[in-house]
Amino acid sequence: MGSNGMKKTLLIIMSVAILGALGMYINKTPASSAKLVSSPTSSNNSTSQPAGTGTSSSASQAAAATSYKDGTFNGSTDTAYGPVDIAVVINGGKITDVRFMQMPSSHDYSRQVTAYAEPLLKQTTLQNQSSNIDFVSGATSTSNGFEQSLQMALDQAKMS
Amino acid sequence: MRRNQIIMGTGVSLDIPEAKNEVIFSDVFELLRQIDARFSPYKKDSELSGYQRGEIIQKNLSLQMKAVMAACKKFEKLTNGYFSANFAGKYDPTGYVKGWAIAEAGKLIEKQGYKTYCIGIGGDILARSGGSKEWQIGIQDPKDKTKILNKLSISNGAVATSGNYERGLHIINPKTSKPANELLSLTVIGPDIIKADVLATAAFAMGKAGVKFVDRQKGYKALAVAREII
Repeated sequence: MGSNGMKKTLLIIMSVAILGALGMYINKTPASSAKLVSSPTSSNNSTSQPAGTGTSSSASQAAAATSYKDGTFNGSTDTAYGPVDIAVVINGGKITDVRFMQMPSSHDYSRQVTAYAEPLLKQTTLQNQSSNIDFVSGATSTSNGFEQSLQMALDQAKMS
Repeated sequence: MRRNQIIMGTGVSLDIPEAKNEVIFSDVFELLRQIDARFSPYKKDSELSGYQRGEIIQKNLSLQMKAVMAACKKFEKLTNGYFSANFAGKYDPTGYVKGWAIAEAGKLIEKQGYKTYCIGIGGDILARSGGSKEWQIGIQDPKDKTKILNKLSISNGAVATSGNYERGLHIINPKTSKPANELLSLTVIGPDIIKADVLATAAFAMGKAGVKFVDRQKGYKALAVAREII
């Protein structure tokens, strides 16, 4: 349990927070985020563009509607551990993929952290649209707690 | 088909897409009730309670109880004592039994020929897929139980979460004898539900250092939610 462990945890927590913030921006006020820009991809499935390409006006258009405009949107943010560039793919008005263009790599431990954190961070962003969930993992509830739980709600929805 | 029941003092949810009738569900629930009857620390007539009171001595314990005890010992060593069935002079393997019960249920389901299923007991989950099915597992936000923090797509794997946010401060750091409180929750993802469950408990007790500890276990990953950001 050296400082690496701590840093790693902090980075993950921090990155999740950043992604959460990014998710908020996409949801609510993307136009106000200068760093969130649309890349000029016409297709939905799209090879991702490097962050920072494209125009911010497209992002403003995407922001206007409640559902998202299709395309690939790039976000970039600086962390204490280096820049994190993210491409968000929107298809059919929903976030269908989150790609990590660049993760911090300037520290010894960071490549390890990147490989470790990426899938988790990706899921963190994707979950924001409350897509289909089969089961819920959480701390053990009491039987009363279970009656009130998300898992119980899912079970009821899926029972046939 | 999906069914659920309250067993072992918590919720048991089982989804077997190919099941055509109730038989496999009642078999699994019965198995879990039998495990609970033997290992419950709350039932006065359980074998565990009898052992705790000193009414059943070591050599008279069932083979199943002895096997569980041996496994707990192994995990105590693996986790440097952060997972322990011994606390405050009492022997209680409950931290192991839930994950083990899920594994036993999985064996029974597979023995009946089902390759695709997902079972969750008290927030710990075992997912299996014999085909293209990917189970979507949400990780509960410890700050808001109605929300999902992450979503994982898992064909074959286990997800176990530990936290003190549901049942009060019941996870104790055995090194300090105080409730673990650095983290709000810690989730372990890996191939084996028993090990994932034990690692989640131990790593949660370790606090922030627990994430790295889990990462050192081949095939296992952790996601922690800290009490404070940075």
